[in-house]
Parts: sequence; C-alpha cells; structure tokens
Amino acid sequence: MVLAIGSLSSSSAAAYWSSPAGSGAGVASTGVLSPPSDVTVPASSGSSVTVGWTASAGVLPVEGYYVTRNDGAVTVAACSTSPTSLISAGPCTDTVATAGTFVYTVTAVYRTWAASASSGTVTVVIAPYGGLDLGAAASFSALGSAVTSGGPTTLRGDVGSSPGVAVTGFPPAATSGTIYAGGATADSAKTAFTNAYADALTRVPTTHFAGDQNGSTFAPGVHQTGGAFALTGTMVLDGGGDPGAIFIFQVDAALNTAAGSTIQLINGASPENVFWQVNGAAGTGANSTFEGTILANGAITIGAGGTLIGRALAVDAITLASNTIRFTEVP
Amino acid sequence: MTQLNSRTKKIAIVAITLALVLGGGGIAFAYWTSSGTGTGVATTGTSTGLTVTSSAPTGSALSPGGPTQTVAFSVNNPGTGSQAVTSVVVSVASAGGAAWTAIPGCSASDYSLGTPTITYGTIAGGGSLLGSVTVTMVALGTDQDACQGVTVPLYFVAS
Repeated sequence: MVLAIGSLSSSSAAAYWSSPAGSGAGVASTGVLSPPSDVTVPASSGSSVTVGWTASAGVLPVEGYYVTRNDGAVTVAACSTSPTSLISAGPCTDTVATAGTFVYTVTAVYRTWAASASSGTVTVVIAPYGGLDLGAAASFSALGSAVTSGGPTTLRGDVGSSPGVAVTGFPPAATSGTIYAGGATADSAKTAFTNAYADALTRVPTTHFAGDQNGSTFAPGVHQTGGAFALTGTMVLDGGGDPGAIFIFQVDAALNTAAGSTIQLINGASPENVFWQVNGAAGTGANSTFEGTILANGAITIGAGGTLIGRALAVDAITLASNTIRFTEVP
Repeated sequence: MTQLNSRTKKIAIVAITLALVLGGGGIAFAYWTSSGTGTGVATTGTSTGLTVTSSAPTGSALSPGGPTQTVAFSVNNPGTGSQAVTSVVVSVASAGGAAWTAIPGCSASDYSLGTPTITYGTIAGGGSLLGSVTVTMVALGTDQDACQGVTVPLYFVAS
C-alpha cells in the first residue's frame, strides 16, 4: 500500500535504496630493510680478525649492527656484539680463541627487523702458546727508564735505559753485555719491549687465576688474572715434556713475590719461554728465584739477593740489589 | 457481526487513504528498503550492490612503527537508483574477507588501520563517494622479518 501511495503521488519523491553491502579490495605496501654489503674478512688471520662492511643502503635508519661467527657448525656472537648490544658501524675486531675457518655475518637491525649479509671465509691460524717476539730487547737483562743497582749484581745481558740515561751502580754491578745509558740501541730495545707487551695483551687466555699461587702448577698456556699476582711460596710451571712449551701470564695489576719464593720449571719448561705481562709494578722478594721475562707497565724491583732467570723489562725504573740475572738456568 | 465491522473499517481506511492521496496532490515521502522491489507501479531501477575500488597507496613503505600509508577508495553505485551508504569497514584480509594467511609469520595483527575518512550519504545512480583509510605497521617487539616486502591486502565492505 505504501508503494502504491508513493507511486501515485504527483509530486517528486526523495527516494533511495538502503544499499546492499558491497565490497572491494586494496593494498598497502611494506618496506624492506636493506642488509649491509661488502662484508669483508682477510683470507687468513691471527687471533684478531678484522671484519669490515658497508652500511645498509635504503631509507630506513639502521639502529646498529651485530656480528656472528660460524665455523660451519656453530654460530657464536662476535666482535662483542649481540642483537641487544649493537655497534653503529664497522669495522670491528673479533678475537678468536681457536684456529679454524670461519664465516662472519653482519646483521643490520631496525626495530623488529633484521637483514644480514655474510663474508667469505677466513682461516684463522693461532699459535696460542707462541712466544713473544722481544726483538731488540731480547739481548737485554735489564731495560727501563733508569737502572739502579746496589751491591754486586751480576747480569748476563745488556743493560739499558730509555728514555732516560741513568744507569747507576756499575760497578760494583757487572754485566757480560753492554750498558746503554740512553741512545739509539736502548731506544730500539724499548720500542721492541713496547711491541712485545702489546702482543702479550692480545693473547687469548686459556686459564684464569687469582690470589696467592703458592702450590699452584701451571701447564703451558696463557694464564690471566684480573688482579695482582702474589706468590708466597713455590709454584710450578710444567712443560709436559715439550721444550718449546710457552707460558704467558697476564697480570692486570701488580706482581709481588715473597722473600724466598721460588718458581720451578719442570718437564721441559724453559725460562726463555716464560713471559710475565704486568700491568703495574713488579717486585720479587729477597733471595727469591723468579723465572721468565718480566714486561712491566711500571717499575721492577728485584729483591736483595734475588735471582731472575730471564729479563727485567720495564716502562719505569729498574732497581737491583745484589742480584743474579741471567737468561738460562745454567750460569 | 464483529467480523463484518472490522472488514468494513479496513475498507474505509484504504478508501480514505487513496482519497487523500489522489485528491490532495500533496507531498508524499517514499522509502525503499534494500530488499524491496517495486510491485507493478515501480518504474525505478533495481537495487544493485555497491562496489568499492581503491587506488595504490601513497606514502612511504610501511615498516615497524614507521610511516603511514593512505589508501584512497571509492564507493560506487553501479545501479540507476540512489543508494544510501552509512558504513565502510576496512580490514586486512584476503579476497572475500577471508583471513590473510598467505605469508607465514606475517598477519593482519602486524598492521593497524585507521578509521575510514568518508562523508556518508546517498549516492545517485552511477555515482560514487570518495574516502580514504590509513595503514601503519605495528612494532610488536617480536621478530617481524616475515613482513618485509609484503603487499598487504585490504578488504573494504560498504553498506
């Protein structure tokens, strides 16, 4: 009836349909995070591998990168990075503890997105127990900014001071080598010492220790302590029958041994293959026996009557007191 | 007697109504429902379903917590009679409104749609209404790499 009424009306009607539902489709587009490019590593490397790359291209502002290393089976974090600990750009240096062939992957991160690219292979050759190259410092028994001896110290090798020129107490101290009170030879030796010290710092620790090492026995390796080194009695370095066995001690503070303390070398361990990187002053006790080359980022004091089978190489002054310093066990 | 009276009343109402319309010549307001069709006297067109078309998105490509894209759309009345549009609903969905499952690890929950911008009203036959809707990508805090480079399907329903 209503329809009839409408159609019959003579005047205009505002008529419309209540529309049936209609549908259609559309799209939106999602962007892409560009990965870094040109991830590079050297074909071969020592334990410190340099990883380089070119930053991600594209419009998205990358928040940072993290790096991983894969040995063909296992992927581990590299360059001290992680998805939550990013670095802003390359290159980075990764410290590898074991030899092998590796591929590095650099991943760019933007919020919840990541995009990666990988390097070629790098073959890492590590001589974890390789000795330090003392270079021009190898011929020195005592090398520091100054050398002072009290009493009849006897030394087998050279004695030098750099950058200072003070070498005092000779005689009564005596050396079979040459005394370089400053000069180019001493300077070169000091540079070689500095390089050897830096090399020692790069060695990857194989063990960590702390406290008094009285009674301890160490196998060949790189042994690290974050604190001071102390020895109140006897410690042993066991070469395991290998005359080439290398011992590197990384001491991130001072080194001190007590009076009468002793380091014993057994089973092929040799003082020429023992190194002490000391980030501070080093002091041995009176009448003690210390084995190996001391590389001190500070002063060295050899206790009265003490014996050092090795070398005393220091940034700062060296103080001796009626000591015996030689390179080998046999005088 | 009662039935006779009732029938008599109905006839009277019809007669009066017809008389009012035919005799008065006044304004009448006619309204069609969506499912209604004319019954002999109607000369208007049929109620044809609306269609929705859209344009390519404008704005930078989406990224987690990133820029906004705008998709313009048109609600079209392909019929000959006017049709009222009172609602446009947009969703991230496949054709026909089915759940979007084409990309493993990326789904409608990774995206957010704004309220469609459109002035609702009546579309004359062959006409259209224009509107737009915004799209963003939500930063969920979890891995959304699967969404990289994805074309996101939008499904419009106008009524």
